[in-house]
Amino acid sequence: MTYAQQRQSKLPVSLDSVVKRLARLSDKVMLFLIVAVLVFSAFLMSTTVDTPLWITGQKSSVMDRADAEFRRAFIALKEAEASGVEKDQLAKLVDQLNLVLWMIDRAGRLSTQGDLAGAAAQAERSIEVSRSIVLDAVKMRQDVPGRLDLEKIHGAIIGVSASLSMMTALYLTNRLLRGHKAANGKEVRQLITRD
Amino acid sequence: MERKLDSLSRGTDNLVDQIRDLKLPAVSLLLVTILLSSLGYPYFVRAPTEQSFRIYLLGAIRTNDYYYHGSDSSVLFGKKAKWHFGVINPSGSVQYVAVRARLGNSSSSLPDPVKGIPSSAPIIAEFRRTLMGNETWEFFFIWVIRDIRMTGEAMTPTTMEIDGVETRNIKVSALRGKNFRIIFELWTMDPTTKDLAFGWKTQKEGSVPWLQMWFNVTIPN
Repeated sequence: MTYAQQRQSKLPVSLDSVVKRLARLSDKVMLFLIVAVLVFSAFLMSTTVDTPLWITGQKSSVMDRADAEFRRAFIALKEAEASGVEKDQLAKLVDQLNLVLWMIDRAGRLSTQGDLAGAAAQAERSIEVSRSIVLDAVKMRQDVPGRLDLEKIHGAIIGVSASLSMMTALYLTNRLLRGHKAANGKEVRQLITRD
Repeated sequence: MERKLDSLSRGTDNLVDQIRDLKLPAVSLLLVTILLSSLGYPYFVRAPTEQSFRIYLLGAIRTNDYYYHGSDSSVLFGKKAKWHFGVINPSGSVQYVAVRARLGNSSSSLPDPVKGIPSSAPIIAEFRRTLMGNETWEFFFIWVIRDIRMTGEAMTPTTMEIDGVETRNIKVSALRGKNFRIIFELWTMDPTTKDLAFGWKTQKEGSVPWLQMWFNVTIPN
């Protein structure tokens, strides 16, 4: 057998073995990829779901809590801003946040003057306002027309089209490999019968 | 044997043909996915708003003058000085800022703009505010020295009142009351740590805005 013949004989055989192995693996790979695509789609969809707010560590005193609640409120406001809440609505929240800052400063002054009860009461009131800001900001985010819905639709379209593409590709590949395997088996059987 | 080889090579040819046939639908599906993703990208992926601020300090009548009681940069003990401090937020987004005022003398360390380290001088006042996008926040910085201690020729303004709030136990002194300074620093909320940080960081570099006003303290006769 010449070198060219050897090469010709080796090439299709090795390709065939690869195809056979792929056909065996295709079922498991397909399952794995479908799961991966579903997880990916879920991730795309989840990007539009409310994320938990950043919360500072354990705070002990009422002043520290007031400061932590203020930050939570500020972050909620930033999230509302990022969601596309209108400026006039944001301005209302900003005014309230500045009121909270004023209350915290006042509580600090009362504390340095020795009026600890007054300082604590002022700080508690600032916490209440901060919490109401968080609720208002979340509500404003939910009420944003259009944008959030479009985000969800876009996420869904990408997820579904990616899933469909992957599944179609896998199905066609699988069918192709099985068809090839069956054709090869038939030809080999015919050759054995003839021989 | 040759027949076997022929049939196998025919099978391979079939495989290649089938792959060719599938190329068009597979590429089409891929293109549709890319197109759908890219169409929505510019609309849904917002460019991050970079922080950027400017600060200024004006005198009693809101001009670049009349900061002092006398012509030689002197501030009278017990008499109020009125300044206007401003923070401009040119970025289009809401920001939380704090202005920290420190009392220093000629040997106090200045803020380090390279390392982003604030001055080591003691803080005598802090003003905080949430700013709307493109908002300018201006506030009065009204201050007065309420108490002074003299140790030899060293003068220490032990109590200062700023915006109606007294700060006591100040330990910064200067020879014959000359060359005190108030250092103003702008602190902003760091988007990563969610805490106040000196200055702010952009994608390329950091920025630490600060300014200072020198003054001498004079005791009226």
